Amino acid sequence: MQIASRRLPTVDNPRKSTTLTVMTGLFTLYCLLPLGWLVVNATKSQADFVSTFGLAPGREFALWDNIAQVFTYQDGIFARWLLNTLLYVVVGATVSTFLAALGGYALAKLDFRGKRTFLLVVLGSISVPGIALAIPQFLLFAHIGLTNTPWAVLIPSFINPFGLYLMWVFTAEAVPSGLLEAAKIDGAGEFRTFLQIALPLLAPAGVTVLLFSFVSIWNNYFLPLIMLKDPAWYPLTVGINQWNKLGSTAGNGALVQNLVITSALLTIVPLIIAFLSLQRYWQSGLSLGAVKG
Amino acid sequence: MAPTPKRRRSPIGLAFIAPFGTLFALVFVVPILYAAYLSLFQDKLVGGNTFVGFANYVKLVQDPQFLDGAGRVVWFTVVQVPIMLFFAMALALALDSMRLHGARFLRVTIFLPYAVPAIVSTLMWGFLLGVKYGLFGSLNRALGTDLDPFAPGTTLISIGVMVTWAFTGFNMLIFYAALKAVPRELYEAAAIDGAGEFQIVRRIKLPALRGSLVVTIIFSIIGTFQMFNEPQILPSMVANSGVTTFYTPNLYAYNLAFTGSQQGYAAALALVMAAITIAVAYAVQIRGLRNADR
Amino acid sequence: MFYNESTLKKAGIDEPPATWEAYYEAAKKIHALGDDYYIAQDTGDIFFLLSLIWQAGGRPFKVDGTKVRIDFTDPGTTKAVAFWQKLLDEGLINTKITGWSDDWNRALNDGTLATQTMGGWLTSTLPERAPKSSGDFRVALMPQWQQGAKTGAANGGSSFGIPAAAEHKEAAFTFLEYFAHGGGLSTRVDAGAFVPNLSVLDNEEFQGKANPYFGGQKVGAVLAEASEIVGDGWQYPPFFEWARSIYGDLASPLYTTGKGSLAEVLEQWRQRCIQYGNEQGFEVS
Repeated sequence: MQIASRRLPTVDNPRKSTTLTVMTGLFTLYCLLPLGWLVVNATKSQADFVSTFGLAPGREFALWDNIAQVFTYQDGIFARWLLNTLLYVVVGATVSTFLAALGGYALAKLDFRGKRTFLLVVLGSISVPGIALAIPQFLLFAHIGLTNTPWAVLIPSFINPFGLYLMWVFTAEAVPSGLLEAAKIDGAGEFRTFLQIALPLLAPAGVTVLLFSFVSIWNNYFLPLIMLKDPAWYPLTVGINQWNKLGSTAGNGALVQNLVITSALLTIVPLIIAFLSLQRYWQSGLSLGAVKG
Repeated sequence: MAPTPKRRRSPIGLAFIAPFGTLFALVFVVPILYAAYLSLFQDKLVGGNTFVGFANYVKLVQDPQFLDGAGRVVWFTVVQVPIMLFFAMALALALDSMRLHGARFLRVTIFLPYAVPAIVSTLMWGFLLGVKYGLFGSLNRALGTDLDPFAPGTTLISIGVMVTWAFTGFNMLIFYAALKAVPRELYEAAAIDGAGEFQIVRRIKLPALRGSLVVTIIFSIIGTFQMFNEPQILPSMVANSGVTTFYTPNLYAYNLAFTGSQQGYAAALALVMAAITIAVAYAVQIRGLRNADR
Repeated sequence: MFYNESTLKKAGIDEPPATWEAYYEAAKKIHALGDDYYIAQDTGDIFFLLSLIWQAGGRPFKVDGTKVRIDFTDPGTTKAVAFWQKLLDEGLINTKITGWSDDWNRALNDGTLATQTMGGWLTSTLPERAPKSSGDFRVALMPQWQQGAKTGAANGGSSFGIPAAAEHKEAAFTFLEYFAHGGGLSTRVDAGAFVPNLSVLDNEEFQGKANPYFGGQKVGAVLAEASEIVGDGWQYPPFFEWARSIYGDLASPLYTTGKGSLAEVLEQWRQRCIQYGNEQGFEVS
């Protein structure tokens, strides 16, 4: 290490630039500012929230009180929302990633009738606005009796066209066809070849797709909003907005901004942890999507 | 590489694609066909459902509110997407230059907003940009100015600030990943040939980003064309921000369907927007590929 | 009308304005306290404007089955609209703060918004929105168009229904019965909700209870009287929910640029309502 740092700057180890760091730092500040506001205001009581300056701490430190209140307000429904969200995210992200891997593998390594059309339709579907789908989806699901059940949120989340695309690209590049042929010559069936040879090789892209699904399901708002009527099945996003609206609708609504803000903070903390701990996978998976274009 | 044996069309391929395909049909294809069907009808509050042919589409292309919203998202896309991608690219290049102190921290922090749900981010920005009690209020008092980020003329800029905040990191990561895929020997070879850092950026790095640029442009266009959450949530927080019920086509469709009970018309609108989005994305793709071949 | 007594006193106003004429004079005195001080806020609140029209005797909507007539030119409507237009024109109303927003809470809290002409239900939520103003607010009847008159109007409201697709209609009805008329009432009143049932309003305990947030005023008695004097014969159009949603689109330019007038906005609104209503199969004119 010592020797390396004493060496002259090279392409791989250039001199650090303070100017560049400061410029990048300014952008980082822009990214952190709102989050800072959220953290500061999650420590305020409702009375302090309406009466003190936003970026300064309140008169009392109420974070723990707020957290306790978030979990007890309306008979502790927040915990239920958290569990719902976890259910939607874990089941949704796992199934969608597996289906994407299966489909991506088929697109890259197997042949079937209508493959080109299939690809075109799936890729085209990425640009269909969510609202365009939501209304007919809702009517369709209502027809088969799925609305107001967890399935109404889960089934649409199983399909991740972008994930399928990433898996297709990744399989084409990272899974050597020769290896698959060899496995088949050894007598392995197509599905076993996929599970035992291809799937382990697809792990890096798999984690990327998993993370994308994770974030998009965790943050999904519109679909559960129209599909679910029973607050017991709400995910966090819909629940929080429900609490937020309590305060801004005219009438007898309760004003619980401190709970809205604290619950918003609690909602993004798990995501941030997932980000930090799995960040190298984002990059490895994305690099493939990016290179291929 | 040994020539791969010719693949035969086998039912096994279909079996692999079937689970995705079936659910895809249920979640995408059938609802879209259903929307197309709905778009040919008008459901009246008094008088019920009647077949109207293409009347909804004819009405749509003459609807000043739809055109206003569509024009707004196009204008927004033309301005916001280049700015965001410029920042994303500059940040990716800065990170890749290996000249930053604390690069890991910076990279993660810039990516962080991507994890924040739109509801939470609108809540935060709504406060920060507020003129009365937000940061802009303090700024105006300090400087004696009268800037209002949520006046009808400036709201779109504020939304741009929010969207840029949320997605720059995501795009940066795509660019960064592409840069990381460039073999570093190339840089060394260039340096030995006497190329300066800026020349390396211009001749090696920027061309290497072309593919990912196409991807990010397409995703950004799709995203901004569908803008919904921010304009939907803002009016409850800020007075007269200029956000109308038809501010973006998606918001208009939502209001038509859920407040105006005009499902057929909303379906027509949604399908037209989808068609426009696909056409634009496809055009970008074609152009991007043609440039890459040159 | 809810008013912040200490702000009014600071402006040299000893009595809450009993007529709209006095309200106008009060508005000028309050705004003279400073740029942030206003008698009220309005950013295009259609419910407030309709309450004002209602009280002035205007009845712009006439509904008979599927026939709807909309007319914003009757004398009552014209009077109310012209009055509010005058306050807006003279900059006496805060057009930057929207009701029920975070800014609104803070302005009520620091006393820069002096009055709120609103439904009685504000009693239950005001204390949590403006905790610092505890003891400052009082309740009075809505200002009158004529000295000595006593006419009121309603503002908003809520209703409960049972969807046609509900599985347990009987149970739902039994619950609503309990909730709206039966034992559920006292539970709601005790929890601080404002319930405008006659049985509650006429109750002596409700009328005689001093409310510490309102400086010990017997708020119930004022609210009971206010609900008795509501002018009758008011109707809303059957597609009001839609109409209300687009009103903001039309009113917003007026409130932000000051160009145009309320009367013009209402006329545009009427045209849109006629177009929409007829498309939906009503007969609107």
